[in-house]
Amino acid sequence: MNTRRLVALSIMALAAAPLALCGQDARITARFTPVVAAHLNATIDSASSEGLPAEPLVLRALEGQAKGATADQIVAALSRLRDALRTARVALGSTATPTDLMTAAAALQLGMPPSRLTELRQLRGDRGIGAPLTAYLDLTARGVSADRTWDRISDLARRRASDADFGRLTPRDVDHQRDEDWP
Amino acid sequence: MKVRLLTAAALIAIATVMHAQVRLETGGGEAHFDRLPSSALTSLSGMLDTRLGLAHLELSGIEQDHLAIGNAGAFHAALHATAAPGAWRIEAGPVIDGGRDIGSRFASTYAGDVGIERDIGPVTVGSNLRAGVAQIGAQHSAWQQPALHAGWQVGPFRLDAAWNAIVLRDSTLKANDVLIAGETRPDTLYNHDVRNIQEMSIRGSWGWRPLALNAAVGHRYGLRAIPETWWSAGGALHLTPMISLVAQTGRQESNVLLDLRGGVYTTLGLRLEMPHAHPVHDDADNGQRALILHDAPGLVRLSFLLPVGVQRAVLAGDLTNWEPIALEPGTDGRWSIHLADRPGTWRLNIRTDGADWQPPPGLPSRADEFGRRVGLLVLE
Repeated sequence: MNTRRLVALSIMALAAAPLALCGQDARITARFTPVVAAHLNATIDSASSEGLPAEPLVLRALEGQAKGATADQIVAALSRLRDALRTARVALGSTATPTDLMTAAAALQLGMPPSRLTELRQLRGDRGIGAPLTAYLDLTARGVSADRTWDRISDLARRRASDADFGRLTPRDVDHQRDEDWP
Repeated sequence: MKVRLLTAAALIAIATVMHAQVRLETGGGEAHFDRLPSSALTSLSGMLDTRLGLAHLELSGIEQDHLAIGNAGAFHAALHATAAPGAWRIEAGPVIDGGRDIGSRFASTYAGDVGIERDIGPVTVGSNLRAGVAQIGAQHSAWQQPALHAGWQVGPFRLDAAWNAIVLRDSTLKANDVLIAGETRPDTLYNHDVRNIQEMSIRGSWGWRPLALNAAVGHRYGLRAIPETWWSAGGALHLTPMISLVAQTGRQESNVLLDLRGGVYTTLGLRLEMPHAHPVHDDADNGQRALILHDAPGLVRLSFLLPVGVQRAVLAGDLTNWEPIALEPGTDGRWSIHLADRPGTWRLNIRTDGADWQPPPGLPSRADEFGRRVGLLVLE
């Protein structure tokens, strides 16, 4: 009986091992030591279990590894990104797509208040928030004032502008209107 | 769409008959050519406004040929060092202006300028102080010009208000008969006068593609100054992404420092904006350094202008799973790579000749969490 039980447990263990490995991203296990990979995968798995997208976390870990960051730096970066993703989901609601969450998390990490995410979601209605958020990230990363950018983005959203309208925004459109200078 | 095209064609035809005007714009410069059908006036002007690192360079000039009357022209040059501590923006540097009115001698002014500006919510406030000397024929003037300005942006509306004072101490050479009479002491060679001039202006604009409108009014008054009011109103209608129909009318103020006359003007013309390779950045200092081209299905080609002498360059980013991939050198100093065209905002860096990771030139960047900066690539 003991022998049968031992065999059964062994078979169950062998079957469970691949299942456990399925929860780990191959890119993480390939680039980090087992100990670090386990730590990172724990963070990523916990995010996944909350319904947050795992891909941005994996990519951030890979970025840290490519740049020679320490394990502590990478774990801290993942933790901050996971928090931002959580905040983004609370602000945007449970129906937000992974892409929207990724973009929203990036905006939050650049200092956008969560209330603006909620407002943008309300302004856009059933239209996606990807285009306005992408425009916001692009413009602020170019040094345009975050408040001015938000004013322009929210105004466009209020007017039910198309995604293409957001894509056409340039720093000049936000900073001042070049048409003023004519002739 | 058809109606819009027909309207555009009609307006272009009308504009061409009334007034030939060409204006070329790039990220950092403009060139204008105007010619009225009557040939009464031909003007040629150009403008360059660009940033070179921490320096801000402005160059502009205009030459007007008033047939059978004479020529007039003016130029402006300024080179400012810039800094942005906290929420403030500071500029300081030399400014040179020159000009010649019809039948007059060349006048010039050399000044130093320092300005400070910041945003407070939707409001921009700033101040600057300019001081210099002006030479107009036999008269020279020392002048100071303190100024305040404020702008308020609410959605597509913008309102700007400005005030400045110009305090001039004019020194004019006395007539020869005075000198002949024997008053040759240096302090009696000139007559001195002080003018204290105040100027105020308000400008409003509204822009919502395809239409943009603007209007402004200003007034000048003060001690030993001829009161003057100027105004302008106009708009631009974007007919296509490249072509706009523009109309502007107003009264140009005279130039106190260079003694150039103002006047009434009306212009109706076409503006041609050079297209940006999508989404080439229109920042003057970055405009040509990064190109993002969708020239193959499902792929995006990134092309960067790297410094001369680079032997090897690699790119790593979200779209490569942060695996370094070599950039291919071109014959024009550009280095290119094809990546999967996936909509989103992606992080990436490049490394040249084994140096540290850097944001690709020409792309916006932000601090990463690892003590460096990371470039942001936006794909739509």
